[in-house]
Amino acid sequence: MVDVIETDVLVIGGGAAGTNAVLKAADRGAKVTMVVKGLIGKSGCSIFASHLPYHDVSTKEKDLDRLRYSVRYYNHYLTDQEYCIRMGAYMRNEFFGDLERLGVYWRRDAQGRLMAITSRVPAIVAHKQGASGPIIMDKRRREIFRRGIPVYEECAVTSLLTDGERVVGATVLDYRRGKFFAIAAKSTILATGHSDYLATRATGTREQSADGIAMALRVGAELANLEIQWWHASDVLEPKAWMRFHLYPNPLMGTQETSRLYNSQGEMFYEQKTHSSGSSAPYTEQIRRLSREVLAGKARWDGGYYSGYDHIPPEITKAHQHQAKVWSKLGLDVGKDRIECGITWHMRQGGINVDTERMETKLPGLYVAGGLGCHYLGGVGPVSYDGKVAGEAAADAAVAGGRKPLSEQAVAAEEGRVFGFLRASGDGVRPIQAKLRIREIMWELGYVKNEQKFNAALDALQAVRRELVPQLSLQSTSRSWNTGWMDALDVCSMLDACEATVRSGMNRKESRGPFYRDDYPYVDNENWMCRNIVSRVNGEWRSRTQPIPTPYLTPEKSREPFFEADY
Amino acid sequence: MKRTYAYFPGCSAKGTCRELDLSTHAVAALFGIDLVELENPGCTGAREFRAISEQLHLTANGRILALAERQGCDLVAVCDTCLLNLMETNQRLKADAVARDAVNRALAQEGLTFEGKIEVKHFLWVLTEDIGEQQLRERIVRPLRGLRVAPFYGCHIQRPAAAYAAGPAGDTPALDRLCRLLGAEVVQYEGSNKCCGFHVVGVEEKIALRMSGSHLTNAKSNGAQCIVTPCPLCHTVFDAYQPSIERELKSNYEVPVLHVSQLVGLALGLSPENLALSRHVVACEGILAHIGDSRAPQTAAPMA
Amino acid sequence: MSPFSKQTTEPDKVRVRLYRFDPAVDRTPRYEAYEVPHTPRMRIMDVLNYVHENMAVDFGYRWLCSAKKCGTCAVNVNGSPKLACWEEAELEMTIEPLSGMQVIRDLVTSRDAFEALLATLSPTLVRKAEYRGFPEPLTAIQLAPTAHLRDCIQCLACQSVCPVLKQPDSGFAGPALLVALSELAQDPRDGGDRARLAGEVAQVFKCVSCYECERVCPVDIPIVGEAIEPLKRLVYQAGVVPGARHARAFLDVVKARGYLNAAVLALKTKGLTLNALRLALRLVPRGKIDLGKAFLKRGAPGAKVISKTYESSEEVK
Repeated sequence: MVDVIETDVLVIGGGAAGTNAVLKAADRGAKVTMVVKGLIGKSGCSIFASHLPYHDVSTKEKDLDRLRYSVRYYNHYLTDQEYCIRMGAYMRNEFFGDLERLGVYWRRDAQGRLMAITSRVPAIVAHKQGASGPIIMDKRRREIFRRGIPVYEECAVTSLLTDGERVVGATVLDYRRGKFFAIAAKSTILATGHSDYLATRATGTREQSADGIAMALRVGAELANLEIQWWHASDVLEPKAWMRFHLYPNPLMGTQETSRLYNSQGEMFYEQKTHSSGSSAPYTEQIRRLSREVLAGKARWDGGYYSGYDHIPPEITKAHQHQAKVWSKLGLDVGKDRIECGITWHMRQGGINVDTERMETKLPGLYVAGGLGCHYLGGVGPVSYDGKVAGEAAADAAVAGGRKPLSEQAVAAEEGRVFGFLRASGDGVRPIQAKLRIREIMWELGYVKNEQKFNAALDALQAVRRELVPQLSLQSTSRSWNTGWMDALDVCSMLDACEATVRSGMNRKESRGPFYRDDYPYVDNENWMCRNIVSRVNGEWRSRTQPIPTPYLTPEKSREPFFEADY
Repeated sequence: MKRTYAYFPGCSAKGTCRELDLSTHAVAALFGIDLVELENPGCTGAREFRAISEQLHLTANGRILALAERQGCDLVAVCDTCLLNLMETNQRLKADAVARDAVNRALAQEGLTFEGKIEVKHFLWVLTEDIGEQQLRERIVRPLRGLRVAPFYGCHIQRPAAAYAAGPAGDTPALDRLCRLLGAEVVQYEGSNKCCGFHVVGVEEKIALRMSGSHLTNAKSNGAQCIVTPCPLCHTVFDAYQPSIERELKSNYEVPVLHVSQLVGLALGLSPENLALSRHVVACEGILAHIGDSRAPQTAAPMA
Repeated sequence: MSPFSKQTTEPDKVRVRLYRFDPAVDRTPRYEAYEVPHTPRMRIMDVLNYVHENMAVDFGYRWLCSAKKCGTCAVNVNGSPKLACWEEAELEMTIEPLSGMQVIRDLVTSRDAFEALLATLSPTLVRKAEYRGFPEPLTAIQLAPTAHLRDCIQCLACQSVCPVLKQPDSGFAGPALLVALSELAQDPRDGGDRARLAGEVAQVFKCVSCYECERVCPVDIPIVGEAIEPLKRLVYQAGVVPGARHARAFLDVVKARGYLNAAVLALKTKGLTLNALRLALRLVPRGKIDLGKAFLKRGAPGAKVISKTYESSEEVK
């Protein structure tokens, strides 16, 4: 049998959720082990954090005001409202101070006042707009290393292990060294994020191949609302490597001004303060408006429209916006020039079905933290709250409970699967080709969906599974940082996650938030304000819905045309 | 046309590298340039004043700049490190009124004021920019006959970029061009724009010896007959410490190291004595032989 | 028609030589040549991705965000470190791993040594008394000295070019670690023993001030002036390591004489060692050390005035 590492709490994922889970579980006295596919605080989407909502929750009224943005605009009534109340209090009372104690500095002015973005959702930054994430995550990273918590970086978890009932650990491939091992854990926290690189243009980082979704699916976990998939409408088109450079549509610090989007004829078609002034999360409205331009032939999904700050004094953009450097690096003037944009597959509102009281799934021993859950869209603050709740709950349960032995057979079978890909041949299909094909399928499914497109996507994914996967072979059998080998494992995750996403989308017979199907072009709150769940048990896909309680806020209309809804 | 500059030789040119001071004056005289040495200028502080107090660094350099301003002409330095200290201070005090006021408060007790009226130059730039290629070429009486020279710039005449954004030093190959103009062949080697290590000699000599040793190795294996440098600190490591480097790296170099003014002086016909070549640790006879001056030191070239 | 249409004179291809080395099987590195179609505004990362994706080459290269945030994609391009996601592709490129680092495979290098050392430097705020609420009273002015340092994404380009780090067992931490340490040391909230960490653990006085680190920094941090020198000043105040003693002796000599005398400084800093004697024997006959001037003559006539002016500025922070 391969090496087995024993721990109380296993945390999988190194973003804001995973790092806080590790720290809070360790604070509770649990032995914690962390596995990160990339590098803590460098991989994943947390480093993209720009400005963080800083709400006044001092009165119930103000708290409800805040809640409206979370529930209506961020989550389209698909979130857990009681969770939002708890998370809001954490954000205000713990989150920012916790990070300052590690050395983050939330920007003040010369008089010591917090420098806030003064839109209807006030926000603060740890540096410049667009550059808070790296600082926040760097401090968490340092704290974890300083405490000497065992960390396995550049190690991919390949499967969750169960004893038939509980999740009891995981198998890991250290792809730097080509070493395969297992971890036996009393509690396991999945925190692999919500922003995967699943379409040709996407903001997901290199390593994000929806492993968390796929692994949970394989052990029978329920997945909810996977189809509530956000797209960014204002990301750089060229160079291609810069598609993750997001030209923020939110207000610039110290002003009420926001960037604007222009179609190919130079007509402005989106500006937050004009077109979605009630929302601090303009993305759903942005892409809705872009879709009209695309239909009118005045923009394409990949180009033919532009973003710019040329109506704002350049001093402001340069002083507060990390993005201003994008302009200068391309030899453009942020005060004059506009940058051509394309859409990107961004983040997912849905995820693993989870009970937000303790961030537990229906599988004993398996917890979820962050954007991977179905309960909330994400964001560095909220997912840190999840990390805290999951970390503490998992640690308490682990300290109280015993460790179950791992099944040698299951570990050996997984080892066989992982090393089965490590075969080289002159021909065959290179894993990257399958990976690119999957991304292409999801890109073609795109923003405007319908039954026909879902079926086409499903057929195409099945074809990859049937025709390409069995032929996968590598160029080399190196066990050290073999990109092809890593791609092969990613392909398996991506296929499962994409199939689940497509099936979930087919089930939802309405449009909502970022999810648009032109065969059901209306919001149907009567039937679809729920968790739309898929799971796979013994190879059979199952689906069900679960109502979402609305103790505080309910939409005014039970049904309205998609293009008339403002959320 | 007579040119006059305020001149700050720095501690090396007045101490361990007297030959730099002598040869600089000798070359300047050929072009009728007056280098008027500042009186009691103190020190730019090398890298040490900066490590003590930023204000001390600004005051010490502001003081030298103020003395030059009193002479009413641009200031010439012959040491890379002095040059950078003076250039950075000059830029900072011109742009930053708060820093300027603080320096002027300290200088007031001597009746000095920094006003920001002058520029700072290296003597290398006086040669390449102010005198210019044309005049230099006209004065060559003893072309260097393909002498294989390895230019070594030193850090502080080229970095940091912010200090040299506008100056001729941004143009690294200035020294390469000068060498070619004098008839020498420029040896390309890994290290010509790297660090000699001088500024850790006082802290951990071994690091400096190894750093400069690798440049010497590269220069020599690429066929260099000598190194030429605009910085007396680099010169000190390469020349005065060369036997130490040889012991540290268990190798043998015997690569002579010239100051820029010496190399220019040779081509312009100045005698080895005028250029004080005998003050080097590594003998320069090989160079003299190559350029046809093995009869030296008896026959000194005529002075202008 | 948009004013932002594509350039009309796009080059048609990029020629790249890729460093290949798998320490587990290869005895020496080799290079593979590829031709990649040029695309508008192409970055180095686009070239690497093309070779991986379109030519299906399984070479090892590391990147995560491709947006200048993670700092993991720095590679040597034609001998100089570049952040692959950020810098424009050149038409002829030899792409190699960062120098001076252990190669894991091909372009991927180990960051382990850096992380291990960072962990020993008390890498988060050390406080005598934690401030429990939020926001703590702090101003932009207090934090201004660290503003540029917070830009660091730890790409390690600076570490890879530092000439001191290239020396075996230099004991020097290198620029990226000093940036991290300096950010904490200059933070008004921090109460850690940063002088000791900077002087003894990071050995800041071994910095040669060559500015190579600044030359390659993709986020333009003034590393020497805003990270390293403030640390040196901190260590100087504590006065514990040889570098600080050297600076003190330097100032003393200049103040006493009105100028620096290298021989006197060396004697004060290092004492009369065998190496110093050897050097003296070499330099005295050449007139490079004037014993009379060093040990008999008094200072320059203006020494007292100079000394007084300096003293008024020494204590100012």
